[in-house]
Amino acid sequence: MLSTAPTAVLSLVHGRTENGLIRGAAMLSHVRRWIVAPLATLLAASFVLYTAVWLQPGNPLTLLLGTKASPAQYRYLAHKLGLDRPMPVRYWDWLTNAVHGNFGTSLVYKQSVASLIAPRLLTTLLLVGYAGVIITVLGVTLGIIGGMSPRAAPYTAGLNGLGVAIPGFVAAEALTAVFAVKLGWFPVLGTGQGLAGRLQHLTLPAFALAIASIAYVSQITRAAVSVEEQSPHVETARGRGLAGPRILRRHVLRNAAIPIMTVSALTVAGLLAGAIVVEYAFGLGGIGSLLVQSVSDKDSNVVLAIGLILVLVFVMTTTVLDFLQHLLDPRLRLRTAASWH
Amino acid sequence: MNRHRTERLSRGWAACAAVAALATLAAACSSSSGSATPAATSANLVVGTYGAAKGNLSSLTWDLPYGEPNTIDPPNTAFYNSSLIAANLCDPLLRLNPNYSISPNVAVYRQPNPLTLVFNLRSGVKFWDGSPMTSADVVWSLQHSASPSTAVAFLYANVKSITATGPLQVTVKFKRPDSLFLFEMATFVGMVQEKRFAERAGSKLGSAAGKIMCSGPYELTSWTPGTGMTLTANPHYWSPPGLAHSHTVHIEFDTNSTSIAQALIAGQLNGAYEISPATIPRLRSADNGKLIFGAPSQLYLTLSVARPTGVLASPDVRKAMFMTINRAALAKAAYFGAAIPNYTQMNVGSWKNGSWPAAAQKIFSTAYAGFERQKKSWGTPAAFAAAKKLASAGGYHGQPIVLATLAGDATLAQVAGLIQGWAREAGLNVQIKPMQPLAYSNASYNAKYRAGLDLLIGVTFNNAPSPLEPIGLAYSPGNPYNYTNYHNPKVVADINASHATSNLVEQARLLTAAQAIYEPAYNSQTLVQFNEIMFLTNGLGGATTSFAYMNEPSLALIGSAK
Repeated sequence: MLSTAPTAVLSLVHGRTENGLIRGAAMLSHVRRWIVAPLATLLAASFVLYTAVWLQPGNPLTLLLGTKASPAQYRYLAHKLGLDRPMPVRYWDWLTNAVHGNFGTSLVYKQSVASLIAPRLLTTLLLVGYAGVIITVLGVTLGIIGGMSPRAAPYTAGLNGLGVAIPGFVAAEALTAVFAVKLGWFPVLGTGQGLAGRLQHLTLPAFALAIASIAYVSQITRAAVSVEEQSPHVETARGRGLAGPRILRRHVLRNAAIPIMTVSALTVAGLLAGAIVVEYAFGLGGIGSLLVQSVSDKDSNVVLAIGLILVLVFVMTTTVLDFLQHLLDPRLRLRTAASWH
Repeated sequence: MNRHRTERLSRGWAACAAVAALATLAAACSSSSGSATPAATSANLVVGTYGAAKGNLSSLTWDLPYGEPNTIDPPNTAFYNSSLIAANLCDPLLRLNPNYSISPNVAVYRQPNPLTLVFNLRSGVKFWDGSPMTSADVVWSLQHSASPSTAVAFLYANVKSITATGPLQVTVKFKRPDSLFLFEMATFVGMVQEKRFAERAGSKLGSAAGKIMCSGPYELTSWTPGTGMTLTANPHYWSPPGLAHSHTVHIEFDTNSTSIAQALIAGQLNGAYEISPATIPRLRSADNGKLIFGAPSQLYLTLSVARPTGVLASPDVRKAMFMTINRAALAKAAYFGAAIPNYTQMNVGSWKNGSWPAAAQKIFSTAYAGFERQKKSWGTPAAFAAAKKLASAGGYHGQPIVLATLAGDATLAQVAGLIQGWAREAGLNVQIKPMQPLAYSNASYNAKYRAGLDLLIGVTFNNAPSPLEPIGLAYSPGNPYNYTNYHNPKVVADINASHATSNLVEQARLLTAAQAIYEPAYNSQTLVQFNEIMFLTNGLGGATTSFAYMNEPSLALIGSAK
């Protein structure tokens, strides 16, 4: 006993220390993965965006002074707005202000970037959120039907092919021509007032934005469901006489959820950047159209703010996905833990 | 044409945005003397005003096809969308009429000598907040316009002082006579804002956050960035006949020409100016409203030699290049047959308008007729053959002629393609170079951005309805708009004399004398004169349809036609 006691104590101490080290290392890994890496991505993105805007040809002061101002006027305004300073100095100024939550003023619109973006961001988020719901509900439903029913598969595949083939802009024009101009069910343009008004105004844009993605998510869902459908554990469940809906819910969808969730989330996040086409088609003032305009205007503060919002959404989406995947799939948790032994 | 909002980048006094308008020459001529009320069934209406406002409306929904204004601070609204809004919110000292004549507004003027202008302000004019308009507000507003951070400061180059010479009197003194200045006082250049409010707003003045304080027929009641604006009728407007006919105007910022057309047809919009030519066929057949072509207009398409050197340095090659262009066919093909060909550097609309007396117009039209006779046969097989010979004699042997155009502008791309095709017929090798909006805009005034270019094409407008504005810039030695460094002392003397005289007949004589000298150099040519294109839904009337809409309270004038 005496001889084994110290060993046991030691092993206990070592075990605790080892577990603590593992936990600490895992924590460090999570910090690096979920905090440091996203911040580094944002920093790198901001520098790349700033440089890209700076390298673009043209003098943005033309937007303020027109084309008939004197060279002295251009020099005066460039100095007044600090545009005559070297690019690294301007970038550093922007960065230090941004760290303190100040994203500056729009060169073109002469108002704070935050106040310029906020109403547009709301429009875009509502549009993307609405489209996201449509994509998830219709895409996943169609995919499940296609994956579970061999008879329905050709029809869902046909619909998917059609959806993928229709560009957003064409969908926008067709939807408007039928549902807004001919039938008069929805407005042609504008964002509307109040929640009901906004939803009514955003219905056609959301469908136009969602069509191609519905098809994509549906295809992924169908493939994932088909694979799970033919897997041994589902065959076993069927052999055990379990009810169809229970098999679908517990054995098919749960395992198919990871690719479906990943694709759906990344697709919806991608819509944020891709909404520009639909925003333009329906005359919606969202951040997509503002971004394109600001790039053209060399309005760097606005470009950076919107660019970083887009990067942030992607970073957050992938981070949350990563987290959810760990939560949903015990194999991933085990693999992560095993990698520290 | 899809009218991308980026087109506004090429704005300014020489705004290069692809805009077109439609008319037949005869129709334009008939409308230039003033307004007219058209027959409602005409396919191509060319008028200065449309119908009459006989009653009031509860609301009007209007679109700005060039999108959300970046500012509504008047001296910085030198563009279609922002100027329209400013003109409905603020009062200029003088009033611009649809035929481009001017009349008193919040001020009457007298000119005791060529170097002095005295404005006597109307009493009882109040800003939206109830404060009376005083000479201090006017002095501040004009000095603000003249400050180096505005787009119109160059128009004050001849101004020596602006002073309040009484509670309701402002005197402007000049270093040199300036015949264009008075006209500018009827535009956004001479709009009056409340000094106290403007000083408080500081750098935010004119933005959605800072707004403005004016005295016009409408008050800005909301501006949601990216969404829209609401204008509400000013119940205390100083001029009862000028009261807004519509209680509220909702302003939309849609820039997509297709959805604008659909919204007009669906009745979601009551109207819009600056309709895209691409949507004309669709809107022409709409049965719920009328497509109208407004005249007079200051919009035109120019093709300019971009630099003093290069392949077009040879006068023969330059002339040969212009000889290949069929201006009538261009107007028809690219602008649906509704723009009119123009045969001089001066655009027809600059002298065929209500600001010129008949005697002056006669001088211009006689001179114009000679150039028209000469160039009408250009762009035909005979002209191609002659151009080929002339180019060859000028030393041309197939070098590329680089033609710069605005990237993303379908109509300009089509125009450039037509020019390229015609030039090929004469053996001239035109290469099209689409430029990004900002660089394209910069190229219009900065030689650095024109390096390597031989020709620059774009749509331009004059603010003043006078050839003196563009010609004065293009032929002054050292001016950024004198792309070819053209210098002729007689031309300069005539232009300077035109600036100095307020006698418009004498101005016409001097400008046509200069024209006779500079035209054969082919530095720049206006190829097409546009009219303003607008759409108005049925049941509405009183709309200004000429290009003067930009500087008139044009939305306030629209009311119920019944």
